Amino acid sequence: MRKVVVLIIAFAVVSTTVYVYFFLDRLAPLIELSSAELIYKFSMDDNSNKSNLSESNILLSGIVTKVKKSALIIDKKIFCKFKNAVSDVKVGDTIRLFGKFIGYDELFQEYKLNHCSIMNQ
Amino acid sequence: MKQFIPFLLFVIGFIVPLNLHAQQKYLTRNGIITFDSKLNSFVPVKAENNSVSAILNADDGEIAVLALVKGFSFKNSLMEEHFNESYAESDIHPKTTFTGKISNFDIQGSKTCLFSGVLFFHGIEKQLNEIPLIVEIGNNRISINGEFQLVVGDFDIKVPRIVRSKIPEKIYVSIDLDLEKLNK
Repeated sequence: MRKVVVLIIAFAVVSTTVYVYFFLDRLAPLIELSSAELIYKFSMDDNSNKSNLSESNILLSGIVTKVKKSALIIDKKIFCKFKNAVSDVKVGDTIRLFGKFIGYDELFQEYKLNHCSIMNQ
Repeated sequence: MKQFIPFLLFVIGFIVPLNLHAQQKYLTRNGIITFDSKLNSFVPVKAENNSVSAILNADDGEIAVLALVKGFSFKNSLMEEHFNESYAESDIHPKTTFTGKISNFDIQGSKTCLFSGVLFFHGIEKQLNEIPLIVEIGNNRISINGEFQLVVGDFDIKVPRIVRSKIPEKIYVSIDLDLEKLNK
């Protein structure tokens, strides 16, 4: 009986350690921004050496300016890509969405967010 | 009145060719690029980017493709992190681009076309010559599909000796672009 208890405790300790060391610190920080703030922050990053947006998940709020098959364009400048088709969103809606910032697209002159999901409208 | 006829002809002669040669641009923001080692390893080295941008000029077959390196997603998030931090160094080199020309491009029909141009990745420019890709012409759409090989060693990617056996020498890059005509 004691052996089982020791084993369970040992397992719990090992799994917690593994979780803390390997997964907890990988959870990216979350920043809440508007489109203008995102653009401003990105332009500041270009001047300093290290990006503070690069690892971030972003909670973005703005106005939908274009609806695409599985993407939305927010405030004409921010392209948000969704995994699935976007439904129930119209041009002009104010939206709050969650996504991962991946960078600036020079071809279309847009900022890109990936893996987006809508938080609320 | 008669004096005006040469002038009118001159004007018409100018406008008609201009209209005929109005640039036909096709573009996409939802292109897909995947790379795959195709090795039977325990954890496959495979990633997909489904927000690739591309612009094609249908008049002369010039094409520009841009993919953000952070947009490549792996099944294994740890592998994705290593890819971004150690190999592709996406903070320093955030994008990969291809600019080039389709040599035998023809808006009239679908066929295999040859792509030549410069691929830019990890700060290295690599000339690619006559890569065959399938170009399908549809109603106001052009789709480009195909696969080609790249040698990892061409791109100055430093692989620690310990994991060298796990990192493939060649990767297969497949491309799937569905370009839509730009309405002006």
